[in-house]
This record gives sequence, C-alpha cells and structure tokens, in this order.
Amino acid sequence: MNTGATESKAAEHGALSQESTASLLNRLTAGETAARDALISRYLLPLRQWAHGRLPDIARDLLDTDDLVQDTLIRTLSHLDAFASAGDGAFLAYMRQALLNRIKDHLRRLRRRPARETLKDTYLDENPSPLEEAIGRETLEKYDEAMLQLPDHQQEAIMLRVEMGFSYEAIARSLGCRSANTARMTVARALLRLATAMKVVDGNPG
Amino acid sequence: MEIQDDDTALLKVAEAVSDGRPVDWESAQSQHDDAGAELSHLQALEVVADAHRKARLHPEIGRAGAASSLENGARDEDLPSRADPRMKSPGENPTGRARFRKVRAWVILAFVLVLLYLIFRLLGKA
Repeated sequence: MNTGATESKAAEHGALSQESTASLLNRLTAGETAARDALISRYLLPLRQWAHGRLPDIARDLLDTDDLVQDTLIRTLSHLDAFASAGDGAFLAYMRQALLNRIKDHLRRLRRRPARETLKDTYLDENPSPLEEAIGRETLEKYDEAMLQLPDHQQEAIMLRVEMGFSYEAIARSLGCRSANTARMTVARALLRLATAMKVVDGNPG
Repeated sequence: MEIQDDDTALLKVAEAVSDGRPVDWESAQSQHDDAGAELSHLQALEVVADAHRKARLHPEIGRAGAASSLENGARDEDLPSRADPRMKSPGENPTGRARFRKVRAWVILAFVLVLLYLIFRLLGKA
C-alpha cells in the first residue's frame, strides 16, 4: 500500500515537473500543495547557487545563504497575490529582486556590526563576490539596473539561461514555450533588449 | 534594409552569447558600425554569462546546485564528473573493495606457499 502511495506521489511530482511555472503557480493559488513542492524542487537549488555567487566569502561564512534563499522562496510562495496578476515571468523576477534586496540588507547589517566582531568597514568593499570579481562591480550594477527595465518574462528568460544555466528544454518547460528552439529565440531577444537597456543605463541613448 | 540587416546580425550575436558560442567581436563591430553600442553591451553580457557559468563551477557554489542541475538539464561541463574522487567515499567504491579482496587473496596465497616451502624444507632436513 505504502509503495503504491509513494509511486503515485512520484508520478504526480514527475507530471508537475513538466508543467510551466505559470501553470504551477495557478495550481498553487487553487490550493494544490504539490505544486508548491514542484516549484521548490525546481528553483531552490539553482537560487541557492545564484545567491552564493552574489556574496563575498566573509558574508557567506557569517550568513546562512541556504536558509536565506529557502526563507525567501517560501515567503514568496505564500504571497502569490503580490505577483499572480502581474503576468508571465513575474514570479522569478520578483524572487530575484527579493533575494537581491535581502542580500543587500544583510551586507548592510554586517557593515554596521560592532568593532569587536572584527569586521572592518571596508572589508566587505575590498572583498568582492565571485561575480563582482569576474565582471567588476560597475558592470554588475549596470546589468542589474538594466534587468529591471525588461518585461518580467524576458527577465525570467535571462535569469534561467544566463544566471542559472538551465537548458533550453528546461526553459521551454518553465516558460511554457512550444519547443526548445522557441525558448532559445526568447532568450536571444531578451539579451538583445537587455543590451539596449544597458546602453540607456550607460547614458548613451544614441 | 541596413537597419534590418543590423537587427538580424544582432540577434544572431545574441543567440551565440546565449548558446555560449565564441563571437568574433572585431569582425562584428567592423561589419555593423551603426550597432556599435549594442554590440559592446552584448560583449559585456557574454562576460556576464561566462562569469555565471564559472561561478557555478566554483567548488562551493557548484555543490549547492549540482542536484538541480541534473533535473534542469545543465550541460555536462556544469556537472561534477562521476570520476571525481571527491564524489566518492572509500567505503562506497565497489571497484576499491573488489581490488582489496583480490590483493588480500594473493597475500594469503603467498603466505601459504611460503609456509609450505618452509615445511618441506624442514621435512627434507629431517
């Protein structure tokens, strides 16, 4: 009996994992908790990975990044009304911004810690996150600012491909695209739009 | 027509950046002067994409995402290799266990042979 229940749960999870994010969110709004599990299963680990890349080593030691991501994800899924009507892609765009805000808050709190905790004011500034180290703080800030100019579904496409490394097949499933090639074109157009937005942020509308 | 050519070219470049394929930026810039700013920002996005890819391969960061990478179809270079010794513990390695048994068998056989040789030598002297 237990085996049967386990198998049907696994089958249900397998079926849900093939659904688009928007469809899973609709199911969750309707009260299907299995949809919540499917969303957590899909995004928790990639989001943890994403958050780790955004934090300097010292902050990662002093802050439980995994807890931060899990907490933000669960809170976001509990407040679907904040983005449910905002259209496709809003969930991941919302998650991204929520995580960025929480990471910034934690870094600000770390800077304000008393001196006996041996954290110099400039230590965090002198110790960039892996991403800042790779592309420079200025470029990263420009990139983040330009991302906010994009429609949610394009932000989501870029986040899935560029930031989380999802395959086109997985992106097609998440976005509800007809095929992997459609997902690929969606990402390419989003990147082009992002490049234009970065030009605007640069103050070079010409 | 020229604008459409630039748009098509820019889209092709964006596809290459998304795919992770190398782009000949010098050639692209020289062929599409009017799209210089967009091309330089696409080049910056190539660096951003590469940085995210490398961050996922970071030993600490990679472990955080390896399991979901399997589900989300990450490319092979993003996944820790099955042959990576860090991924196995000695007790769980069937190849290591079998090898140990083989060596143990040879050691026992060698010991028995030496013992037999000594016994025969002793009997011979007697």
